[in-house]
Amino acid sequence: MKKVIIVEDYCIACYNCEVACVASHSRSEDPIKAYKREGLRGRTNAVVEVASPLAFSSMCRHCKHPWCMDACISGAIQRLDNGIVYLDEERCVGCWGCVVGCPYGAAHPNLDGERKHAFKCDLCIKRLDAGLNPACVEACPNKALLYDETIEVREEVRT
Amino acid sequence: MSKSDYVIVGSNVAAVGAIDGIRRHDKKSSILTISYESLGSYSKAMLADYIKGSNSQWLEYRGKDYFKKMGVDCLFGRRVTAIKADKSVLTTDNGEEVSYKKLLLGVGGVPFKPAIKGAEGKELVFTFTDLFDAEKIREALPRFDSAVVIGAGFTGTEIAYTLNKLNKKVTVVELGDRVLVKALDPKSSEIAESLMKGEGIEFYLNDTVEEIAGSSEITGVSLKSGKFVPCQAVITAIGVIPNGALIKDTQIKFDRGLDVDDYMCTSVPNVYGAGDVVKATDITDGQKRSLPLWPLAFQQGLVAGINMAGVKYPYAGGLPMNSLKFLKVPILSAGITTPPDASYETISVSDPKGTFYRSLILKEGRLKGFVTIGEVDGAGVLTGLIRSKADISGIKTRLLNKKKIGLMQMPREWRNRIFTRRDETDYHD
Repeated sequence: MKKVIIVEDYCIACYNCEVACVASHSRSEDPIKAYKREGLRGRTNAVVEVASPLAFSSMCRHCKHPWCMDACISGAIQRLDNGIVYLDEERCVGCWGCVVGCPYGAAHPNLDGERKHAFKCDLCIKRLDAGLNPACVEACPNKALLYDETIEVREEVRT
Repeated sequence: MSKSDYVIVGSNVAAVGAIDGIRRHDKKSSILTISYESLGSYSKAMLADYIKGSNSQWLEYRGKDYFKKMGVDCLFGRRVTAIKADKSVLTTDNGEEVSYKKLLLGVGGVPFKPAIKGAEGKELVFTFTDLFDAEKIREALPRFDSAVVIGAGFTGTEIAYTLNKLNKKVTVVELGDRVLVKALDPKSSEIAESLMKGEGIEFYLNDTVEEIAGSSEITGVSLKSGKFVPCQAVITAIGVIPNGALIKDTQIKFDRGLDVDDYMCTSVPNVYGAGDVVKATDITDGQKRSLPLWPLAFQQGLVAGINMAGVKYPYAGGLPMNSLKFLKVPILSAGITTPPDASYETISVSDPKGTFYRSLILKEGRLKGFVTIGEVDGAGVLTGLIRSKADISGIKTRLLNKKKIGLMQMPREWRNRIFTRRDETDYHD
């Protein structure tokens, strides 16, 4: 299955992936409206971690066996037939089982909104269906994010 | 007599794990699930939502069509009454017999009920483990304004919190000296207790209920310490013990929990077990014990299912994980949270306001457990470090940083292996 490959040597901490992620998961699909009116600040599925000069953007690895799914008490997290590990925010009850379960820290708690729920990367499922790449990959100016086959398939990835 | 290749007794999370596991390797054989509960697979961990007024459909763990989609036949609302393991046959409460090739016992746990004087014959004495219990409490809500909850574990504190939110006066009585003793260390117990006290819940620690007073209507409870707490309802939530009712008259080995090997198989070939009924290996010390925890039930079910389908696949052991979902301040923990002896090292950090606390338990440089309160984003990275058994002596202080925990703190080589997406989630059946 194709996933997002992270190449930390190429990341320049521009945060374009975060902006693109918020925009593509907003109602307006407009970053400014999403941040200002839709309360999506701090709600990105791709998160840039920086300890200068080191930086990278990390998000859900869509594991073959997702630990987050084991821990999900409501059934909100399920692995779809296409391999995407999907979190249905409507069904999520905010128990934080996925937050304590994910070894990559890629399931995040949304504690501020009206309703507590977790959120995570859905690999831009709607964009994939439309034949596009995930928004973070598209927005990365330096090819620090690639949408490609896994190492198991490709044998070798140059980082 | 009806026949099925796989029969699963129970329909909750362990059963769902098993169905997923079987269907990974066997798309064709027939599967039958039998459960006394009419709702099929639902989330017991969400029963508090039901008491608060949610529709029972909200509790459904997998959609209505899950069993159909997986090609599973269902006998819901039907209790299994006997197992003849030598003949591979079981009997249901309407006298029908069902034969199987492989059997999974996912029969869960039953509430531990201490003998309390005066508990018999009173209507408003409850347990809180399944939908029947939740329904009884929900129906009785207009009939009481105050309640005593016995036990300050996960179930006890959650039902206490729920009733408090429904404007009942709630008092929790706990035999131990602190709340949530299995999941938290003394300092975090104190924080959790003060958060709940702030909501108006009262606690009596180091104490126990000796007698429930009143005739058919409860007037209160008398405690061992001599105190009397007036109340109209009592809920026992001391914990669950493996449900051996169905197993005790069979040759399947059961000793305060169903005995299973590394492949989740019981002492009888072709009979498997998963979930709250089994004694499973605890990854933190390699010991077998009853670990009634949701993620573990799913994993054990999955591993049992894979083995039932004929693929030899060992269970790696379960890591206790806890998350306290009802408080405003999130509290997460995993592994050993209170060091058992002096060979463990504890490092911790907290802020004076009590809104942030994190404690790490290490042994020989390896992470064995943690508690984190307030800042929880990325906490799963710590869980991953416990599982990987990596030496973290070099990075341990960085993990106490108040900021979110991230992969930034990990060694580069470890991180890049994940980034290039080698799947290391242990399940490579």
